[in-house]
Parts: sequence; C-alpha cells; structure tokens
Amino acid sequence: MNKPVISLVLLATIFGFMISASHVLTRETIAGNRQAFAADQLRTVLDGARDSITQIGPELYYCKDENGLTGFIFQYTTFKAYNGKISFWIAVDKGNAIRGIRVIEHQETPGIGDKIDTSVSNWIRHFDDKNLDDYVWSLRRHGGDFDQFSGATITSKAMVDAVHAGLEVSSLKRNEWLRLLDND
Amino acid sequence: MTSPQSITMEGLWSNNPAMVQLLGLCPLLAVTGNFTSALGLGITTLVVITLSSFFVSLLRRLLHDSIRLPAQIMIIAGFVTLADIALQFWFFDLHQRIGLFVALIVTNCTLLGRAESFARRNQVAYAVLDGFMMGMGFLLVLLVMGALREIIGHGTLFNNLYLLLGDVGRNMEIRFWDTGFLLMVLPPGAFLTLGCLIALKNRLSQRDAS
Repeated sequence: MNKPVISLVLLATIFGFMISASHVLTRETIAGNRQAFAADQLRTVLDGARDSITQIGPELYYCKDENGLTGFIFQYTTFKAYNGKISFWIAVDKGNAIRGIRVIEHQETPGIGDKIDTSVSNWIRHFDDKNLDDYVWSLRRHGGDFDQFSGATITSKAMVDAVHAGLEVSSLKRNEWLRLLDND
Repeated sequence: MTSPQSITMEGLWSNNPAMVQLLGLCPLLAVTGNFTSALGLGITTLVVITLSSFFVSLLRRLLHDSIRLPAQIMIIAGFVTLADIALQFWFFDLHQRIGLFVALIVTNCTLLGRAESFARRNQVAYAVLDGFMMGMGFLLVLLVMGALREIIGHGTLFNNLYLLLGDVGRNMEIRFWDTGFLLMVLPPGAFLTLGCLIALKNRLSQRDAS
C-alpha cells in the first residue's frame, strides 16, 4: 500500500479512538443531563412544585407527593392556531382542575401571538385552577369566561378551545390512566 | 512577513474572518440573537480552530499532498465532534440552544481556510497563534453582534449567561428597557448589524490608509 493511504488510515484510527473513548467516558453523564433537562422542562408546568414525576405512557406522566397521587401531566396539540400547530403540556390535579399549562412548541407571530409563551407573557397562567364544570370555555367577547390577549383573537381562541378539549380528554381517559397506575 | 505581530493583526483586524474574509456567516448570523449563544459558539470555534491548526501544522510533513484536504477535514471534524461531546458533558442546557451550530463548525470555511493557507505551511507555534487569533477575531465579532442585537432586540444584555458561567451568571442580566425592536432578533437584523460593522471597519481602515 502506498504511504498516503496508510497515513490517512492512521489519522482516522487516532481520531476514531479519541472520539469513541470520550463517548464511552461521557455517555452516562450526558444521558443523565438529558433526562434532567427533560424533567426540568416538564417541571416548569408545575411551577416549582416538588412532586415526583413518572412516565406512564407516551407524553403522559403522573405526579405524586408524599400523600400519593396528585394528578397527571400530558401533552396536547392544536392545529387551529394562526400559524401551524401549538403543542403544550397540561397538568391537572385529581379533580381535573388545571395546575398549569406550558407551551412547548409554536410558530405564532413573534410580538403578537407568542404571548402564549411564559417567557413573553403570563397570559397562559390565567388557565390555572380552572375546571370543566364551573367555567364557560370561550373568549369573553363570545360570552365566555376567558380573556384574550390583544391583536391575536385566533391564537387566544385556539388556546381556549384546545385547553378545553384537553380537559375533556383527561376527564374521559381518567379511568384508563388510573388503571395504568395500578399495573405498575 | 510572518511575525507574531502581523499574525495577530491579521486575525483580529486586517484579515478578520467575519468582517473581511466573510467566512462562517451561517453560524455568525444564526447564533448572534443574544450574547450568551454568541459567546458559547465563539469559544467553541476558537478552541476547535486552535487545536486543528496545531494538529495540521504538526503533521504537515507527514501528510502527502494528495490526501491533505481529506486529512484536514478529518482533523477538523474530529475536534468538532470532541467539542460537541464536551459541551453536552459540561453545558448541556447551552448545547440544547446552539447544538445544531456546533456540528456546523466543520463547514465553517475559516477553519479549513486557515489549515490550507496557513497551518500546513508554517511552524507549529505560528500556526497555533494564527488559529487562536483568527478564532479570537471571529469570537469578538460574534460578541459585538450578539450584544448589539440583544440590547436592541430584547432590551437586555447577558440574559441566560448562567448557562455558561453557572450560578455566578444568574444575576448578571442587565435590563435596559422592556420593549425590544423585533427586527433585530430576526435574520434581517443579523444582516443589518453585520453590514454596519463591515461598513464601520472599512471606514476606519480607509482612514488609516490615507
């Protein structure tokens, strides 16, 4: 074999070795970092409450504290917003009232529709503690109980409808989810 | 011709990768929306370009001319992969924000450009200095752009710096005003900022020359 090829192979071997060595040395810490990051993201929906969170299904978690089950966190998505989809976490308590909503992903207009994001506005927090029975789930201008934020009726309406639909899903599936817990 | 002074001057000013060579614009435009991301990617690039210049220069007599490009790219890609792993190990949160652009450092033409035009023709010490100064020139432009765009676009400076510095950085955020000029955060703002910097740089250079 000629010399250039050998030196290229040698170089590739050296780097291959260095990369695989550092991968082996770091992979456990990195996997831990990844889990901690995901848990932190999920925990923001509980606003700092220290419940332990355990996954029981795809995008479905249950929360408990020292006294037992405190509720569920699940993901819901709507396509009725101004631009593309909005995905968000809903945390509900045992009585199916909302503990928190946090938007994970959206493409609403920056400066207008992005007020659904907690880094921009606290609007999303006005869903906290709401439940299915005691509120009319539409915007105030349509005779409901929910404020919109200015300039973005479509985004606001989509969020109110989606949170409402999410709560109904959670109410319908409650028994199924509790059975998942029993199986654990 | 090749002296430490001229190498330093070229990297930081007269042959600055971002303002004169106009290389590495993709990360330059993408991560300068705020100071922290700019600093993170700037330092990563600085480390990788210094290491790759060192290695390319070290092996310059061993690598046959016919394989020098694949060898240089492999050296750069190797160090970028190591940097990517290191970031995930120490700064995972930051990596979530700029991770996409870390892998793209491989395609930052500044790195291959310095390997090809400088490191493989010069002694190790000069090559390391050249890599460091080119990386420094790139980092400084990133920082100026990141700071300007964050101040004008968000009204803040040093937001989220704790992602890099740990708890020390948590209280370093400076808030200038509450409303931001949205355009500066969007891609056009990056082009406008870079354009103004280049114009300013050319103006100063012209004045020096005359």
